Amino acid sequence: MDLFSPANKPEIRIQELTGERIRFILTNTDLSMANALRRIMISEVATIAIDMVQFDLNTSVLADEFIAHRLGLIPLDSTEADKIKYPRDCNCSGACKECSVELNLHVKCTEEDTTKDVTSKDLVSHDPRFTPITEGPKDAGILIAKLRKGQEIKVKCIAKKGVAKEHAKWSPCAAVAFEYDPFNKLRHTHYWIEEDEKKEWPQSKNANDDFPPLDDEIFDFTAKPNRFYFEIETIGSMKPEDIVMNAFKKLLEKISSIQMGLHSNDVPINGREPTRDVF
Amino acid sequence: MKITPDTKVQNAATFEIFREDHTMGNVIRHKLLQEPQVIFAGYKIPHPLEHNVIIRVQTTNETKPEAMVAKALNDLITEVGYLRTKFMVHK
Ligand SMILES: [Zn+2]
Repeated sequence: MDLFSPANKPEIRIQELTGERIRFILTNTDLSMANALRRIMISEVATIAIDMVQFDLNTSVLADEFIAHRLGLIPLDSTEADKIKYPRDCNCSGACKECSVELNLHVKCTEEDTTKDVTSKDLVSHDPRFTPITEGPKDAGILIAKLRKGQEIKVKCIAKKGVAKEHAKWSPCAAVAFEYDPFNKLRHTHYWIEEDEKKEWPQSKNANDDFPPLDDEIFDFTAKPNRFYFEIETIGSMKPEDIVMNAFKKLLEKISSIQMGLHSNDVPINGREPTRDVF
Repeated sequence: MKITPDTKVQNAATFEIFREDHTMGNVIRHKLLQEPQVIFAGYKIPHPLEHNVIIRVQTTNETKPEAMVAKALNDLITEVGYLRTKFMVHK
């Protein structure tokens, strides 16, 4: 098949871009490509998150593993996550500067009649590139625990690079909304109704950017979806446009590595001729 | 990757790709099915705890499954690369 004729080139149109969300329309490509992009943004874009916690002291009412779990879920600025190695690719035995970031937390409550909040702002990072995210000076931070007088938490955290396929804490996305064919012209879904479909199923906002069916339009059973609506909301660790860019990069890397795997297979299999000549 | 030619059917083979999932399996299958020389293309993940995907391809006599998979991958690189530059320009 012709890769893409000039009139049929894939296209991306950005509709909205803010600090924490992006809305775009992907056109003239197929469902598998749109879905691959969606899946990679959710689970294969690398970020930094706390992965190991060493407890030196914990006299709070919360159990160690409970606090460790909460620390893992705190978003760390991951804009420069590509500058750090995956632990498995590093030559060190445990954790070093090239594959990890150390963060320390030491809070003690000395107040008499009130509790003390332990928040993500109390985490002190050894690397200024990877710090817990904040929304300006007024941001109170993310609450981790509350301490009464005399209680104390002292921990050492090791943050590492990872992907959400392994643990959801590494996902840069809070949500990825994905839709195609808002008018259901392709009949990929069936609306359950009481009486009137139009009354009971309100139109999605993407319908404004799509083409409504004509009143006498006949069903085209050969039609394929080719217009995809995305809306990505970040958790704050990465800019939304960077998530999309990194997803494209990751997708290219994945295809290339399969390509390499295919080419390294150019040896006779079961006595058959190598297939090198055909491409 | 492990390529196993079919012992009974001409121009058919299975491609086992390690450490990949539906993301790549579906996208490669879709690209293969757009080729007129491809008679059959399908993928499966035989077990949820084993992180492999198997793609089966059967082609006409004009070509070989390996060649069609190579073409599909090439086309994918072009398409994703094109989309990436488009996105870079627009943002
Ligand atoms: Zn290291």
